[in-house]
Amino acid sequence: MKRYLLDIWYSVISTLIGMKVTLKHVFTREVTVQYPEVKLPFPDRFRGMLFNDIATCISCELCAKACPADCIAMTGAGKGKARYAPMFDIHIYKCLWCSFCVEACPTGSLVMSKEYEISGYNRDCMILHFGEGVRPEGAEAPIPGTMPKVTGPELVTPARPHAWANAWKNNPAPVVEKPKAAAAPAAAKPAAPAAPAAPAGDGAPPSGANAG
Amino acid sequence: MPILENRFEENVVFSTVDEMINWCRLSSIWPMTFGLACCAIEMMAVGAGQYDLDRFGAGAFRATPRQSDLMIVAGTVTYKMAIRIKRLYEQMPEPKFVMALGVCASAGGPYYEHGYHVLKGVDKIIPVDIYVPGCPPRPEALFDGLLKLQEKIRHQKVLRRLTPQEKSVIDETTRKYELETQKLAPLPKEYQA
Repeated sequence: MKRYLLDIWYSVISTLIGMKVTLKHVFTREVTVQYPEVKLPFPDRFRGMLFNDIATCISCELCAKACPADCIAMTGAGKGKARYAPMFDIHIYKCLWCSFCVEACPTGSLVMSKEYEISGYNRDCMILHFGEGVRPEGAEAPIPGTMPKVTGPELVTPARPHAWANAWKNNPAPVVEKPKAAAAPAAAKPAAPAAPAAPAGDGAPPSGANAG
Repeated sequence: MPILENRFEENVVFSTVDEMINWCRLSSIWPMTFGLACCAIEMMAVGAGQYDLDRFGAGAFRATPRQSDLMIVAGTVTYKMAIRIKRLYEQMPEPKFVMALGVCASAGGPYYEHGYHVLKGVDKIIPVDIYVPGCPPRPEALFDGLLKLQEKIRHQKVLRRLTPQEKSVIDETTRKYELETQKLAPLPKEYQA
């Protein structure tokens, strides 16, 4: 009988000893970040999604050559200081976040932004379009609706400015100190990339494959 | 609810019932406990204290597919693992959702060009509801994907009849998955289920 009561006593005591550790954490500082409302500040060298300031890009293709995964598909047109990029697609689904392309960029137009929330309901969210579209000879600005068809793997969707790329018009791009060489050809470049020709395919209702 | 599913008209009663069912579904998305590669480390970080997955009701990682609602495919899907993943997906009860975490699971990732052993996206074998790009994605990116998945579930129709447009979208998606599955290179014989 004595042994039986002692067992009960020890079980209560050992539980209380364990709960003391739990109780200590009630009075410590809260560590949870309430994500959608509060976001952690990122360090200065945080590597997020790639962003290309296409007005500064001189289409030298150094970034495409530096990429170990061939995730940058681009074309160049024009000569000398009027050179521009009709197509500049970053295939995020191959990107390694290694930042080699940013190191190779001579004008500082390609940067790794602090953007990371680009998840989506289809594969379109993984291709970023930054190209200007085809510009006729002598024209100052690209003509809307003349974005080139992207050739390549079957994953690539018809070229249109990505929604996230458009979102940068409202949010200021990350400030990067541009070298002096970038200032000269800026006059020949348009201020903004080509407007979306038609927002095709955006109207798909989110009732997905699982509803059926 | 296979007997009652998509059989009723749009009215106040069934809209409300659908809303309630969807709210129940999105508030307790239980993921399955499995990880394939480095993205799983981020998934573990999401379950820990700093990014508390339990705040969204999705923190109960179940160790069996038969109790889980969400399959977080976290990491590189090799051919050898692909048939296991497909089997696990088939063992999950409806309604089931799939999140492709990271670019490897989304579309092959860095192995897209030269990966002789990697499936070019898990959506070639199972339907994916939400793609989260990143290599690996931040824990916040997983939260962003989870919130978007909840938003998707919130607009689903359970009892109500689908409009022809919604039905066509679902048919198109099904057809696309079938096509992509056919396009997939056949697995070696010793790996076939």
